[in-house]
Amino acid sequence: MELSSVITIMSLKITPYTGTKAFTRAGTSADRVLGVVPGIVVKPRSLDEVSEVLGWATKEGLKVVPCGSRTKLDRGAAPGGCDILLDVSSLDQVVEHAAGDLTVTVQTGVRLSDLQRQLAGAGQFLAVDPPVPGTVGGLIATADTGPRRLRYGGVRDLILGVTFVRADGVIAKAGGKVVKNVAGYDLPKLLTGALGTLGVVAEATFRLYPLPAASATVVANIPPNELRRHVGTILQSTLVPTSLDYFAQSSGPSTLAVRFESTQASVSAQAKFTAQLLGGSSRIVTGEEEQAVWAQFDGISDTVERDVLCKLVSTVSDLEGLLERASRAAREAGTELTVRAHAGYGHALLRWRGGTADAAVALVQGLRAEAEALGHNLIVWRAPAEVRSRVDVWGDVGEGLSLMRKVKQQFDPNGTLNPGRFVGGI
Amino acid sequence: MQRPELIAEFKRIIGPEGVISEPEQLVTYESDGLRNHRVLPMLVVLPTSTEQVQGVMRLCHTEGIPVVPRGSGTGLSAGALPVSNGIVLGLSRMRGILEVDLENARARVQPGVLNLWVTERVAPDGYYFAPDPSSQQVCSIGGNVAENSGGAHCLKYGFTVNHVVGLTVVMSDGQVVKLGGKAVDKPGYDLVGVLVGSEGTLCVVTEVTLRIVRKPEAVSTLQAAFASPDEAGSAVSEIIAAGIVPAAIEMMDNLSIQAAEAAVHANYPLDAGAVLLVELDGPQLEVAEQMVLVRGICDGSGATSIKLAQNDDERVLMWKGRKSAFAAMGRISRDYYVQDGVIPRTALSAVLREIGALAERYGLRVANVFHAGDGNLHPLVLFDSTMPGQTERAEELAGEILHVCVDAGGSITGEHGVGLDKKRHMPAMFSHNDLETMQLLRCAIDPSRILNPDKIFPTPRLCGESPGIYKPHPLQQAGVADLF
Repeated sequence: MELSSVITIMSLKITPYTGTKAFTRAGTSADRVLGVVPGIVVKPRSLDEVSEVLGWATKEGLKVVPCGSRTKLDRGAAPGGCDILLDVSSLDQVVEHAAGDLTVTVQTGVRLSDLQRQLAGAGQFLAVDPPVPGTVGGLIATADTGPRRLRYGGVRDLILGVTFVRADGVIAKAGGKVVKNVAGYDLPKLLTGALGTLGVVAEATFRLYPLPAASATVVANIPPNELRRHVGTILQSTLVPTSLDYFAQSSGPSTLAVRFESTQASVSAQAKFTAQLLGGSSRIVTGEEEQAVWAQFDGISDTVERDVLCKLVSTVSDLEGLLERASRAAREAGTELTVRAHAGYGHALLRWRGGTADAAVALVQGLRAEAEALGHNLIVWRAPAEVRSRVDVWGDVGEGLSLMRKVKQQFDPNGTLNPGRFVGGI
Repeated sequence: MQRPELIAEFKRIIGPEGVISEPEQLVTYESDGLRNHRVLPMLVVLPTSTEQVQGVMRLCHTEGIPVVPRGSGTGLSAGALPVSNGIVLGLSRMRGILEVDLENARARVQPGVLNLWVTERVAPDGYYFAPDPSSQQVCSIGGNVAENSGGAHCLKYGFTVNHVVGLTVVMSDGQVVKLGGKAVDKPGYDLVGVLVGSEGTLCVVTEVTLRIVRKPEAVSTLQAAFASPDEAGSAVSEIIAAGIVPAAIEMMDNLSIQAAEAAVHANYPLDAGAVLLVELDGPQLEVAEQMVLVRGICDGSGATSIKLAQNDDERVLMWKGRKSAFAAMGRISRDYYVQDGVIPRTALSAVLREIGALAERYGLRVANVFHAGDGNLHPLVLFDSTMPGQTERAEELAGEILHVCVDAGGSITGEHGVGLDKKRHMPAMFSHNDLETMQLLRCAIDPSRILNPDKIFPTPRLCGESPGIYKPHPLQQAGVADLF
């Protein structure tokens, strides 16, 4: 079908709901998804419109890439087609914050920062701190986590229910609005981290936590080969850190940061004890100084043009060895490496800067081989096109892939949603 | 293949000791913990390895034989109810704790391992397994995985699904697949997350990698009595509003208190309208500081007595009353029916009033045991099955209670699962499209639909295949065989 007639048809379909045609336009190079320019950009304003657009696209054999605030559109492999960029950022209402029940139901176009601000008014928060900002929908699609996953679990552990639109336009819900519920299959978990390949989540309910009264972070410079020992000591103690992170650059000291968030007395006591455990260079920081430490760590995801940013999914015990190998390889290749590890749960972000594409490919493949030999994963988050074209961004995801393909086949048999962007070309 | 040939074939796969075919032995497996549903299976097989499970599934797949997986059989939703032309695949002989990895806080176990064994194994190192269903001394990890079991402490620590990071599963066609691992959030669909709680309808789990948790520095338990559940409920609300996340908050109403007292003498005040148990755990100072707050809140909400456990013995006794509350109902009623609804916690007062009104209308007593922190209500409908019509009335009342929960914004099950017993209530919570969408997963993973058929989803066709209410087996009536 001609683009102009697609736009006309879409406008006609959208008009009855919105009373305006302003929400469908031709895609431009500014809209591109990993190099693919969308045919049109559609911005539905209601659940029914999302359903209308998806149902129609599937019937017509069109390919759809859902998006929110577009902060993570560079995730995954390039889509095998993008006729429609489905922008759900207008679905931006907080439907219900049941403060007394510690739950919130939101439309997925809500920005996480806006949601946190609103929840903070009631002394609560959604216990996620992903490295890249964006919408709740993007959070669910990527299942990104940050340092506090150590204490609060991942997105999968916090999501309670969803309303989503299937590729064929059918609206379905699963899970519920209460903290505890085992009725039916737990589709919210299936959709979390699925990168929008099984359906478009329009509304989600999460469990919340109270904001802690006080916070302090113990910072210590430690040699890279003592990471595992220190992390083990802390995790196997009765201390309850909310974050246990490690930051290292090719030059300069490597740093361990242990955060406590609880009542004032408990934070002070745990921080003091940890400072003794870590000894030597360790110091306790609070307030602005503490924020500055974490801001430096968060800087890992500030990339420039040719940087390669990867996520290492590993375990507490294997992390140190993998990071050591990564840093040795980077040194040999003359590439600058920055590492930010969530050492308390075995994940890390690695950023390579300043090498050739050849060097970057070799570094990624080298570390991936080491990781996969241990049953772990290295996922490419950001990389220049000439690096992406030479490595599978996801790597080997193991024996489950054939089942995953079958799941995709059932939920999206026409391959409408994000075709080819997910693991194994799903 | 005819039954004798199947028996021979299963014996070849598992060995003769792992195949049960005599009617008097099959009776043991005719129900799970919900004993008003009973069906005698064709055979029971008890494999000891993933390979044997694979052999069994291949054969059943080829022959089109329904398979009902079963752990310890303590489930309360008839989730492990046999199918008369199918086999029960019992995992109770797979009882190995294969690996404990303290550095990564993981334990790798076989599905027949009992819940409490995991904690017993890692306790000397200062760890425990957090999900603690009241049946934890007898229920199996495989069953916990199938049902996504909870327990009193899931308010703070989550459910089984939050503590399972890896699975080895056998699919209906015999394919063996390893999913997840020791690491969290591995790339790809979260199949582990959706298989946990799938009630044995999607795959057979033969190995589970669990997260274990460091024992807290301090645990403190408070018991507070109130004149009514309303006052206890407002205390709970204030505790949550104060920004405290207790390890557990349990509430029992007067009937439950009386039953528990009669059974285990937990020193609950018999005249109280409600008793709250509030447990805090974590760093010593945090627990101490927050327990002062909790105490103040209970006082302010009109607590008639407050008792703080001074030592482990007192703490254990406080919990003993709660954990034996179900069984204790036998002291005050001939029969009882355990319900498992969930409500938004803030709707407690209204829901309890509605349940009270319903009980009155039905002329039956309802005792309430409540995981108050997370809104999981266990109304126990008391009845006497020797009185004509009471059994049916009790079941009907229990069903109505679920609808009250759903109307309040809750769920028909918080931790017992849907099974066969509650599938008829699924449409109260989910639309046709919702249920059809869930079953896309079933079509993807078990297209043959031989795994635990007729569970979870209400069948649109009512063709009389659903098993009826229990009638005593002829062997039982003749005194030849006993139940369990």
